[in-house]
Amino acid sequence: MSIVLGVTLYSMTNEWLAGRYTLPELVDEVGRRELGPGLEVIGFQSLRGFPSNVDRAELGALRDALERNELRPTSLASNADVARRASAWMGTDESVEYMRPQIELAGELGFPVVRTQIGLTPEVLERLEPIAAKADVRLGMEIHAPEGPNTPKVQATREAYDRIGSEYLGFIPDFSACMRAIPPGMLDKLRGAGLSEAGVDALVRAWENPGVPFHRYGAFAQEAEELGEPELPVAQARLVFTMFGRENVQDWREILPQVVHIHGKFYDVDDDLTSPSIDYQSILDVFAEAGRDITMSTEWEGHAYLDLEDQNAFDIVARHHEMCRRMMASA
Amino acid sequence: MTLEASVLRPEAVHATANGYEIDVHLPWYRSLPLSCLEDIRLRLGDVSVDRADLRVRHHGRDLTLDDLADLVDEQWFVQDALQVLVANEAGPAAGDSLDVEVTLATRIPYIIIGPGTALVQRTRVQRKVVVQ
Repeated sequence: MSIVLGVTLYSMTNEWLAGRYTLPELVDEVGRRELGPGLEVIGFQSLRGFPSNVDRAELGALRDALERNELRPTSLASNADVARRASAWMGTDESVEYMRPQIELAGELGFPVVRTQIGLTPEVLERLEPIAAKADVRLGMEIHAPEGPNTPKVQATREAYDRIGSEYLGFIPDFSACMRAIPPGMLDKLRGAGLSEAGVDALVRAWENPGVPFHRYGAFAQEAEELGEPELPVAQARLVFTMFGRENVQDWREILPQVVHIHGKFYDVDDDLTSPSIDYQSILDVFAEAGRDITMSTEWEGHAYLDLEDQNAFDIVARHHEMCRRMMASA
Repeated sequence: MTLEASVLRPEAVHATANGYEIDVHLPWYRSLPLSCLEDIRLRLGDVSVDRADLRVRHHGRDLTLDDLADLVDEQWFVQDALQVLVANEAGPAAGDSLDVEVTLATRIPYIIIGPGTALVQRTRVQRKVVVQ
């Protein structure tokens, strides 16, 4: 058994937004650089008119690109969008009908998994299960910072899964949930926005403390005010507490049998092929215990603070693969 | 180019027969329904444009900002510029430089930050451009 490597096109968000590639060209570049075999796509990022009004020719071009590059579709990321109408959020019926075409399109394109989001209630999940079974697509709820395998919202989903009891309902761990440090690049961005070294120290301390993100941010904001830090980096630092989680790596063990795919989230890889912000060796050791093949999308999110000119996404994804291969060989 | 930097690109402002057309890109990684665009504020030089004077052109229709709230099925594709129209006959002409500031309030419809509260991302971008 092993982790099967791959990539999500989300890693190439900067390249995509700049319009440097069409979708088939982006897939060709992944293939040329051998960043597969797995390929994950976010429907609402890569496909115009997703999910119900995508041009058939565009879907055909995606299928052809996957085939000629010998890439294997792993996960189609869906979105729940419950607040798309400000005045009336989606109820159960509307939510089910919003998700249905996303799941059906995944099945049609040969994606074995649809990434779902925490916003889906147990009632909606129960009604989506037969739709997923019919499309032969597993629904993988992403466990992403600030959630973890044992936080209340995820616990509610685990209980619903136990009650419904279907192989079509599972989880997608995202390693943003269990980070060991704030990425150095994020701290540099905040320094650039005017945060002093004393402010950086206060931020790191607040982030490392136990407690819910909201309270830890509040403690930082108060100390920053006492230090006279400028408003902009203090406001930007709110993201640090929601994007970068502090859950325990070992907790992933509890949901291992229900893992349908993995998001290999990362921000940085050092020259010695380790990641300063995420303890990949410990994580890969835990997932090795699953005893079966699990696909993992390399998911670089440094584009949250780095420009296209600062970092080529394909290069850093290749380094992440190199790091994971090294660690899996030594496990 | 980060999400913020891509909102207003160097050739974003075009002079038209009765004002300007400004190409605005979405400060997010995925497409969103137009109903999630809660507000656009625009400053051209020293002039803050009235909300009522802004129009968004989508599929050949010129929409007010208040029209957007109901457009849950109309998608702002993430690679496309949204055309924002301003009537202003007194401003700089093509070839002149202009200091522009755009502030967008975009509701992220799947990031729920509290009971009944979705994240509203506020993005402010300022750039000196040459009017096209």
